[in-house]
Amino acid sequence: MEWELIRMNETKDNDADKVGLNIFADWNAESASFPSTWREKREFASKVMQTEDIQVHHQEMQCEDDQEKAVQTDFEEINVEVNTLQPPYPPSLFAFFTKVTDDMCRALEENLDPFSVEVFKDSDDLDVFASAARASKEFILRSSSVSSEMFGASCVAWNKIGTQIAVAYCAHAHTDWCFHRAPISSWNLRRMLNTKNNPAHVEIFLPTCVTSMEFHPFHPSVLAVGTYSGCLAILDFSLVGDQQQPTDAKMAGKGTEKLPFYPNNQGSHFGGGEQINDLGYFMTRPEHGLSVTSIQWVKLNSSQSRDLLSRNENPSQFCIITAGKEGHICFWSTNTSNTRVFLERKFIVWADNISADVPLSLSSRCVLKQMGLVGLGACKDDPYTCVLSTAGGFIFQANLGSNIEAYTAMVELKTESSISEEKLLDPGLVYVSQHSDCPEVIHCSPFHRDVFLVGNSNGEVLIQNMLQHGVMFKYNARKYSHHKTLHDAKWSGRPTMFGVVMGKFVQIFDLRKGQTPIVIIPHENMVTQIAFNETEIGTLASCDKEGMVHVWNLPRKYSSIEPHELDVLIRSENSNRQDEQDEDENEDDETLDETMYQE
Amino acid sequence: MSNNEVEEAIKRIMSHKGVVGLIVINHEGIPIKSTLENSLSVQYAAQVTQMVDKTRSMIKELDNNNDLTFIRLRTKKHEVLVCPEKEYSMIVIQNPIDT
Repeated sequence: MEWELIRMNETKDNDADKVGLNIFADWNAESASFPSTWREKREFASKVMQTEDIQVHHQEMQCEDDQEKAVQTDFEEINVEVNTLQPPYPPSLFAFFTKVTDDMCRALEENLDPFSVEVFKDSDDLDVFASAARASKEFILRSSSVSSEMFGASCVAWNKIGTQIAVAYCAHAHTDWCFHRAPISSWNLRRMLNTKNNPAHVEIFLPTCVTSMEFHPFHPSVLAVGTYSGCLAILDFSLVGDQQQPTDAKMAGKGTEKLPFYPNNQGSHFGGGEQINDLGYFMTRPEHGLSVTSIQWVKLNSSQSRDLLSRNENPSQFCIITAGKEGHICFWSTNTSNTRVFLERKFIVWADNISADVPLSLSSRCVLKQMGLVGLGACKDDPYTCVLSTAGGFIFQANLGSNIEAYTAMVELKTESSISEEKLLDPGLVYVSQHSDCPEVIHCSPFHRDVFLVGNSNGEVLIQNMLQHGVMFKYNARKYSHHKTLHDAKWSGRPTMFGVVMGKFVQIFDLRKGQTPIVIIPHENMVTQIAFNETEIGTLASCDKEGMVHVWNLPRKYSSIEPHELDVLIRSENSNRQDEQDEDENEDDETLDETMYQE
Repeated sequence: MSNNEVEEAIKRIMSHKGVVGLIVINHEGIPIKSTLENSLSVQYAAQVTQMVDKTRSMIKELDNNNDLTFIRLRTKKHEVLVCPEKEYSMIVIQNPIDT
């Protein structure tokens, strides 16, 4: 049976039949084996497929502006604790200290150089008030005869030996004429018992307010005074004691009934001499139509006396120059005992006699003609020369030795107060400079005959030389004061040091120490004037609008003249002269070039 | 250098005239040694760190071969001296007007 099935399968082509016939295969035949598709081992295969080349692009974008802004969401208090390292320190810290300690010490030692401190000084900073030295107050003086509501102190002066100080008072306001009875109070500093509340040792009452004054260069008790009414008064404190004080005139105030006015009005217009009365003074007639703005003593030698003095038979070598607001300059002589005074010369500052180059205003040239004088400074060692300041900001040099008449003798001079046919002289004005503001104060240097100081009302202080154009030194005192008006400026007893009054502050400058003041003295009230003691260089006095007088001592280092201090002025003068010569040479070269070009 | 020598170095710097204070900060700008009070030390550390970074980057920008070595900052009131290093920086405040 089995053999027949197999033959049948071989003859047929039908695979199905073959399959069916395989079922009936021999069970004893060997089984077929196929390899298993299950993995026997764990294998890894990694394959990479590269399609295209990999490319890397770096691009930067530059923005125009970069700002860092912090965003504050919720306020958080950040408490950071400084975890100060304690020993043992890490070795890196040792290395750090080893490396930097020497460099740091070297840098710290460089700052021990005293000149390095100069870097920290900022002259534009108002902290200059903190860095400037202070003066110590020695005395406060006040006259018990003066009411601060009516009068303020207008002038203060030291006598030449530095022992006596005099203060003059002026009413706060004047309507027209001055009918005030104002004292001139004097204190002898050697007899001071207290630092405050010192009544005056001597007081002399005048029938008018005082606007300027100066002590005699030689006699310590003689004082020349210019008044509001235009008079000159000579006072002698040695003739006045307490018992001579008139009881009716003990208080300052108005009215002249009790006081002699022009006590000995004798002689011609140009005077036969006025004499000191029992009250310790005498007063001339008002030779100045307006108030006397400046008064100066000058010393003459014998030949100068012969030239200038003609009316005084027994003249002293000391004369007085007064300048009035109306534009007149008077030259007075005194006798040797200082009991008489004579008017020797009278000058007028007159627009007609000023060169056409000077840019005077049209009203001055054509209408007013007289030029109001604000200040006058007499030149050291040269009584012929003085320097004037006018209300228009002009500075002129004047020659008081001039004999040229200002105008013909037949022309009448009409003033606000009188018509007179006076012989007025032309002072031979030489234009020096013009300032942008009114030169309130002008003061010649006591150490250099050509150098003078000008204080403009806007706080500018200029040091100039009469013989040179330009300015030697320029200061701005307004920078260091809240007040904007200058009231006074004076040279001190040192060649390079001067004082400026701006509002409630007195500022002391030194030409060698730059633009910042070396000493600033604050006051409670507005200061009107200062005066330096010529003997005690470090002492100065200031008077204020309330009638108080303060005596100050400057720090010791500013109280003596240092060697070669005057050289500063001389060097600056030479430097200015050299600059002028260079400018002239340049101008000559330019002129020569132009001439050659034209040819 | 020992622990005592670190203290001695600090004393040596503080003994100079006018020195107001000394601060040592780490590279993160955190004060690790200071003779001033905490709040002031932290303020100085924060400000000086920023200033040093800015200054260093400025110098590198101008010249890559150059580097910051020392800073002296002069003000109206005093001088701040900074010595920056890799891991630490030292800040010293001196008032030369007192010298």
